[in-house]
Amino acid sequence: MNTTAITAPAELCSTTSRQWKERVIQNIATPQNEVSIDLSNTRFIDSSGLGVLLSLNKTLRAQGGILKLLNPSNAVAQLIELTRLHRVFEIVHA
Amino acid sequence: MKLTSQPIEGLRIDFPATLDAAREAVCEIIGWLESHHHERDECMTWELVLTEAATNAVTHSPSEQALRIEANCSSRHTQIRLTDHSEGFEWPEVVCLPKDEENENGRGLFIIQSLTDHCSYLRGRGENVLDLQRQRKSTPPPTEDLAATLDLMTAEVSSCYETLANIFRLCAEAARDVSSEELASNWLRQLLVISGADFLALRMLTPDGAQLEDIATVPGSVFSTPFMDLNRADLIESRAVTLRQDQWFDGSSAFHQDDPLSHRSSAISGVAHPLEIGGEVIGVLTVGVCSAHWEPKARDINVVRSLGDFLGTLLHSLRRRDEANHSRLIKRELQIAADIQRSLLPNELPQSTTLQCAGHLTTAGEVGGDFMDGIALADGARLFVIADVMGKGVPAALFATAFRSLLHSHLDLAAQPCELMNRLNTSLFAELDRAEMFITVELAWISADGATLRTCSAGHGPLLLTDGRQVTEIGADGPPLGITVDEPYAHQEISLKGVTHLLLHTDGLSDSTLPEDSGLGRDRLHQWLINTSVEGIDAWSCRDTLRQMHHDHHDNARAQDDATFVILGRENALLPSPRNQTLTHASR
Repeated sequence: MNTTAITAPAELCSTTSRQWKERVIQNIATPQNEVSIDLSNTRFIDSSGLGVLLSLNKTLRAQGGILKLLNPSNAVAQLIELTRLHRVFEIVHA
Repeated sequence: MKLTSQPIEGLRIDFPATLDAAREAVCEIIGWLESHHHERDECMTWELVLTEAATNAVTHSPSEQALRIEANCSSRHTQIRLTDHSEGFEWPEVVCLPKDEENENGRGLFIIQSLTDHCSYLRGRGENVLDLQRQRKSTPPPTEDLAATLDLMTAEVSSCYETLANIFRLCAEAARDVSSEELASNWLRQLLVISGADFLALRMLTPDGAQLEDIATVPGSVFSTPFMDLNRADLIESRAVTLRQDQWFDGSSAFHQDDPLSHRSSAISGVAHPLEIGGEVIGVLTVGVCSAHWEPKARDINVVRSLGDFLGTLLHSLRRRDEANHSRLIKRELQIAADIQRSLLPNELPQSTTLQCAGHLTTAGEVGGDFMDGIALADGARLFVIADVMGKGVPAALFATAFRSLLHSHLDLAAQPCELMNRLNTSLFAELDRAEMFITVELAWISADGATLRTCSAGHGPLLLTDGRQVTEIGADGPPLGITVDEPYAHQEISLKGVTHLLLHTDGLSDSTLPEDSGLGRDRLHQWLINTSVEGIDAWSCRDTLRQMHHDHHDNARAQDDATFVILGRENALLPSPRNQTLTHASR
């Protein structure tokens, strides 16, 4: 079983999300069973950042894998809940 | 990257239409909100909202067009507006999340609307404005610089201590035998050092409250002017006293040419501070510097005001004390002069087998200008003298004393009253003339057998004679003593056959301060004298009656002149005279 853990940047927004997404895509080029995005160091995320996470989630699901979001901060968790994405992502609090 | 920002009531940032510039602008706005005491979670919410809005604007704006963010806030409310120059879009009536939950886009407007209390998008031609507002989570705490507050409190305590210490020293110095002016000068010099000012001037109200009197100025007589009218509103210090308010002045103030503050050639600035005690203005203290502008420290100005108020109060008390002491001294001197004058009067008037006599003297003040005497001459004749020195008080008493001394040293001339009067005038003329005073005198010599009267008058009122049927007035013959030495006096010799009573008096007896119909005037006096003669009343009873009449007919409170009289009776002369009661004296 392939499992990959990736740490998200401190700010996942319009100015950073595109580059970060490209790096992640490269990391999961081989099919993955599970990818964990560590959000514990991410203090800010906007709709662009959410879009990147959704895009990764789609890609993994298409490969038969699963995306998990680890330890989001309160602010990030509140945004995910506000946008109802807690129903989409699997969120794990360690 | 260079952003153009400038402070308005809030903050305005213009930035290029790039995502990096937008992100930087948003971070600057968040920093500004933090500096205005927005809480951390409020700032994070605004960061998300503004990032969504700015990203959206940049994405749709042409690259050459700058965008603008403007932020302002009150204690309860925050407003941020984003202006772009894109073609804009229609803000949906209902902003919803994407129907496809996994859609990667379409959440920005929802986030913006969900996290703001008011959100409106104004689409214009070439310019669109997104107006975002949120209530603040809590009222920002008052900004207080504790270190600065502590410094202020320390300075205030220090100022109070310094003021108190100076007040103690001032009290100690005032207890010494020092004049008000010297005390004021000493303390203004010290106050000059304490306050860091360049000049000080202290003026106190005159007792009548009409003027400000210069008490002391430091340095020297820079702004000295002896007196300043209080009704001059165009003089700064007068205005401070009249309005009871500090009057500030500086290089831009227009001084009236009569204002002592205008006497300085260079620019000055300062304040005129009215001094009060118990709600009553007593003076003004002016303090300032030789500069067109002055911003004294609050501590310095408080010290000046406090010490100025206390110095003014102290000087006011010292003046009152000096005035009271002076008044007591004057009263004591007048009392001594009155005692001396009283001692010059005869203890008793000389009685004889042919003549009764009684007299009375009332002085308007402590010391009067009236004089009387009755002298038993060596040959048995009598000389009666009554005189009135112009004015009253000490000067009049001094001349009355000199007059008596001269009179008694020339009694050898008593039988020739005109000669005696000439001698008295010659001797006193120079002193009377120099003092611009005069004396009216009536000399009445009565022979030893009581049958002949020789009388000489120097400007005095008439001597009255009565035989019970009529009153005869023996009028004035010459001018008062001290008027001229070129006009010799003459006397009249009159037989007293049939005459029962004679009355010598000063004008204070018949002059009434009451209306004519109620006073003891000439006609009343004549009628009383006739009645006295008809009823055969003795001189002493006549004196008592006349004294009472004078008292009844004069308003004591308003009486301005002394009143003196001698009454001579030729009937009942064999009656024994009342012991120690031939001459009475009273003060009003």
